[in-house]
Amino acid sequence: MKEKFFSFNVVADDPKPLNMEVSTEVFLVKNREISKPSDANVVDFNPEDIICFDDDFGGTLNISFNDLVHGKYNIEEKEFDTEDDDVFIVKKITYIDIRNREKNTLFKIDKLKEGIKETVYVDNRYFLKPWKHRVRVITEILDIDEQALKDIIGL
Amino acid sequence: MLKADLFIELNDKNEVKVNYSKLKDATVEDFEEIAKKVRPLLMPKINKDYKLYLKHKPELREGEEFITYTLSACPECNSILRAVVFKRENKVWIRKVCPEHGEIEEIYFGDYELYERFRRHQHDGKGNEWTHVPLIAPCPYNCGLCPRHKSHPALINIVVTNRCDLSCFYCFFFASRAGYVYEPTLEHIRYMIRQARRLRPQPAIALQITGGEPTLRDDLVEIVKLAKEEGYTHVQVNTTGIRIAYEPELAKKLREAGTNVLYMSFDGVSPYTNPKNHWEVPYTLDNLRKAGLGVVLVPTIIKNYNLHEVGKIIRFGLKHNDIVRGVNIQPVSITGRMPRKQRDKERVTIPDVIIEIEKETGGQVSRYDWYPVPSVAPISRFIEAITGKPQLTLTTHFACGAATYVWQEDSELIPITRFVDVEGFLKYLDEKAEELEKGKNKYFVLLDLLVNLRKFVDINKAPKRLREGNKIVKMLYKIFIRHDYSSLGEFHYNALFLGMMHFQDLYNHDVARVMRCDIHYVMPDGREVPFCSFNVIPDLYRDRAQKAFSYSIKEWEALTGKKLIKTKYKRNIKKLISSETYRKHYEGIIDVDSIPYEDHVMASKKFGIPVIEE
Repeated sequence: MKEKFFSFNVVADDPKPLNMEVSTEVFLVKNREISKPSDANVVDFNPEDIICFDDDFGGTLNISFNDLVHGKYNIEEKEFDTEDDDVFIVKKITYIDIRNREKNTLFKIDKLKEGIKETVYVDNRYFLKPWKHRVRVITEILDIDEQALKDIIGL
Repeated sequence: MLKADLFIELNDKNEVKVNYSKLKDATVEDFEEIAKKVRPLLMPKINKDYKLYLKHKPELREGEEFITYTLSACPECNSILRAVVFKRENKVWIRKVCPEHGEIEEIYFGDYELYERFRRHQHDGKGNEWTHVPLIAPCPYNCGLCPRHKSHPALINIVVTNRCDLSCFYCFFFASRAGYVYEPTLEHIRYMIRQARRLRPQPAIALQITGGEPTLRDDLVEIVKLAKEEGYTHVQVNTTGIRIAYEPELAKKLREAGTNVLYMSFDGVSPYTNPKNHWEVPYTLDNLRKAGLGVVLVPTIIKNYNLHEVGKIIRFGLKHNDIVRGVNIQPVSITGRMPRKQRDKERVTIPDVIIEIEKETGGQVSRYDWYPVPSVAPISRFIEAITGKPQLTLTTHFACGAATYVWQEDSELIPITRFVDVEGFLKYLDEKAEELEKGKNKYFVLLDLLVNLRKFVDINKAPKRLREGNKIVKMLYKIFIRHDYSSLGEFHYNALFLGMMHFQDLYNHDVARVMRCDIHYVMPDGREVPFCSFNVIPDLYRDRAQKAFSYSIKEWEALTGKKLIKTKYKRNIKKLISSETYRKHYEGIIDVDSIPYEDHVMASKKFGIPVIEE
């Protein structure tokens, strides 16, 4: 199954000033083993990809492709192959809001089961729970211990 | 619990139909089950309902200045297109090119300076922590709400019937023209309004009961009670007011049940500009007075039709300020397809109306007295920072709406901006909110506010009733220092709220506005859809969902023992214009004696409302 993830930067003035840099790293968790996709390739951003783009950043950063269209932007899209059963796709989204120098890391976790993708966890920039709480919930979902998560994804 | 699948059918065109006549006794839980199953089937589908044409960027021409790009929809095929927003001849325009239907250009905002001034007040919302539908399609074909939506709801609309006692020539929505009756049961209504309250962290607190004509439902009072039970603190009924003109008891019952205000169509002060309810409005106002139920007048403004009367509409509101709480003006939204020449005759935007008001009031209400809706977001931000509790925050797109408050003293109109430094006060609150968010002690901030509050009010320029006993400063003190919002009511009762809300159409459609919308409709399948998707793309939202949950006209007539056609209103103009009530309400606004009876009759008939004389 092909999966996509995005990094981007945007500077816009209308309807509201926006200046952000966002990067995404992906981790796969299967049977409590954490790995990085080895074959992630840069591909062209196609119109159809706006749905995946919005899915990653709509619920996390409240940003969608239409916000980018309003200004100057660059999107880097990467694609990788993954098994389509019992895999967690963990997206670690790091953003810098250049206007107020806010920097943070958010997580979005999708679960692939029998070829169907379901979002099981999303951090929202504006409704962020305390760090400890987030780590506890994420490790419970992924069924891994806290230290393993911290070591491998650099928390 | 019933088995949802047994009540859902797919016809040969793959359209979903719920067997609604069998759901008379269904419970909230039953409707929830049915809605869950039906919702995915009703969602718009890519390549069937719309296409994505994002590769083409419209270009600018000589004499045009770039403002921004955005996404929009094609008025012919609903496809998503890139659009450019630009300045030309001091106006703001939008242009897009559909590969199938060619170029579409439309006025977006009638004055560039106001566009820039309003844009400075844009504040975006934080979105919603929990939403009703997953993100599976591009905006605006994922409405329900989806996780990318930027605002929480300020007002939820619920359509309780598509029956109407009028047959306005421009409307295709009402039951006899649509060919079906959409009239959800009380339990279904409870499910829908409960669903709209599920959003977090800020659930909806204001509900508008709308139609069709909601007063045609005999159980309207029950619906109001039900809304209050479900936690809505503000309930308003959107109506022509005609039934209330004849039934003073209905006004009383609605008030007693908890209705906060009526939202009443009022397109002009003469029969020529307001053939919908010109003759009944005086009686409606009198009955509302007796019931103590306030009303907001809602004129839809069309350039070549009633734009010239907007000043008189405001004067009419002020004349009846004892019961009229506000005038909420809606520049026309062009539904259906219309050629450019015709659109140019009808189209007005918010600045056009604001400038016309400035002209008609001799500058007493000027263009600088208006502020865009999101400009008040710093007030919510400040209160949220002080109390630590999420607050209702108005974060629509700046081009969606504007407002001001006016007071009348003799013949003088005094807008709030004459005695309150609105701009300075909003900026101050925003700064204080930021300090609080960064951890500053709230008591220091409140002390600072206490010291500085007076600086933003020029008491000598305030209307007399707010000057007496330093009332205005005391009100602000109560609201911002003590968080006692009871004085807000007092503020509103003394003032006339002037609002403007420009709903979009597919010609001036801007996705950036849709995703910031805070006026939503809750649909029978439990989705919560922004106004400008529900009504602007009705074939994919409003009509598709309501048709799926409808009765055939035959079924409805058998179920109720009523005839649909019999509910149509016939007007006795002779009787209506002969009383003192009619005359005194328009006195000083129009010369009622100068309008020949034949003109009254012609205006009503032309609009589609028959006239009787017995």
